Amino acid sequence: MAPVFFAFRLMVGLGLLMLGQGVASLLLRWRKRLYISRRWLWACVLMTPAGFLAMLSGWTVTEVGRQPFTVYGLLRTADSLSSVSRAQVVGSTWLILGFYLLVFAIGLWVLLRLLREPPHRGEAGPQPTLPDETGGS
Amino acid sequence: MDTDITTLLCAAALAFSVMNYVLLDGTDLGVGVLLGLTRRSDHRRAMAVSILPIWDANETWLVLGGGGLLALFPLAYAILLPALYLPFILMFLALILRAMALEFRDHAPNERLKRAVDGVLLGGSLLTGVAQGVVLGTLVQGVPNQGGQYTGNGWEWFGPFPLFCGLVLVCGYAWLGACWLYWRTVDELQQHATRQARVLALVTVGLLIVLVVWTTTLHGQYARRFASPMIGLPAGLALVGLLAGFIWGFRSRFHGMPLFAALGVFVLAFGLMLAALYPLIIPPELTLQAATSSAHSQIFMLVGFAVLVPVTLVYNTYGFRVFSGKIRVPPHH
Repeated sequence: MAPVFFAFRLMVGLGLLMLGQGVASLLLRWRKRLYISRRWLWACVLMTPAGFLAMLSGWTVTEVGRQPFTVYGLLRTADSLSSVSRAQVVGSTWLILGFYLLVFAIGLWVLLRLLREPPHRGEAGPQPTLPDETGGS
Repeated sequence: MDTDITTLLCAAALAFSVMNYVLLDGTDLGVGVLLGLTRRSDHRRAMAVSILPIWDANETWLVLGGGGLLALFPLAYAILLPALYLPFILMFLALILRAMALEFRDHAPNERLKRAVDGVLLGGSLLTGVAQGVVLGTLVQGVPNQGGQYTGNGWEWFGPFPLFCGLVLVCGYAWLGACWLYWRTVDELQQHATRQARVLALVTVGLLIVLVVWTTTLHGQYARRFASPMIGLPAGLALVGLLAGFIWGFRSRFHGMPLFAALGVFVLAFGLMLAALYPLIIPPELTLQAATSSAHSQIFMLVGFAVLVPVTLVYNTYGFRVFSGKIRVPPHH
């Protein structure tokens, strides 16, 4: 059960870290150093993947930790197997994996592109013509 | 075995969810298809904008339908899902691609890449529509099962009848999409949508009539139901009325008229399918009553539906109301 052991601790550890980050941000805001402390800003950059990692490890905890049951204590995984053929399951698994990597890669690329441009003074707000272009009433 | 009233209510709740899904998401899937076939980039943007605020709310009905089938008719779920494994997987992957293309097309750094993204949107919308038609066609055709287990080879859906249903549904979706664009846009784009809507109406209704005739050859029960004066006659009259409404709708000051007439044709076709199937949930033999879950689950789910359906309807309506104005393509710079 090593995967569950480590995934659970990773999930809880990251959760506590994120909580700590929130409390620290409040303290820094109160001391008016939230936007200028370099150490804090670097810590925030380092914490960026925390949400993704915590979610994936939480998922591992529920899925691996529940084995050998599909419904805990009621239905065993071996008994809940459907009659879908092996070839279809294998094929779809590769397909889903490929799609996941593709979508994740594109999402990451868009995210990094958005982050590349730093915020600056006098950014253009929404155009006054926007309601006309979107059908907002 | 008769169908008891609770089971009937459950079937009605499920049918209502699936129908709402087809009507709502069908329309924005159709817009996705037409968008992919449009050349002008300012028109494509306006078309994307017209469905951006509402497409994902439309898809909540799919979740309700899937969850409802599992909880209300577990036996049907256990037979249908393995039988339709590939079309369902392809449909979900297509929905993911389509959502990504639609939401991120504005982030494409240049026109060439944006065209590629719109190609993905076209492919995803087409595949989703075809897969859904294939699912319905396979259901109507019948799924081999015994003792609550699916006994086919996993490829019954890859036959002429289900694939034809895929074609009909995707044409119908494009028709809904064109009517939607007629409602929501002005000027050139609206005129374009008018022509598309008229052509697609002809194609869809023609295909639909072929489909009804083909359906009657599948099982004796279908032929008897469609031939019955209680079903065939009112359905024929309703079709004529709706098509008259569609044609006349382009003269109405309310530009949503053609869309509502087209949606009416969809409701009619869906109703005919239910009338042919009843009391079966999976032909050739599995009845609603035999596939139903325990009385406790039924009541629990019905209470859930009684809360969820009105809430979902309200937020669907609110979303449509907020973005109910005409979409204007900005002039060239």
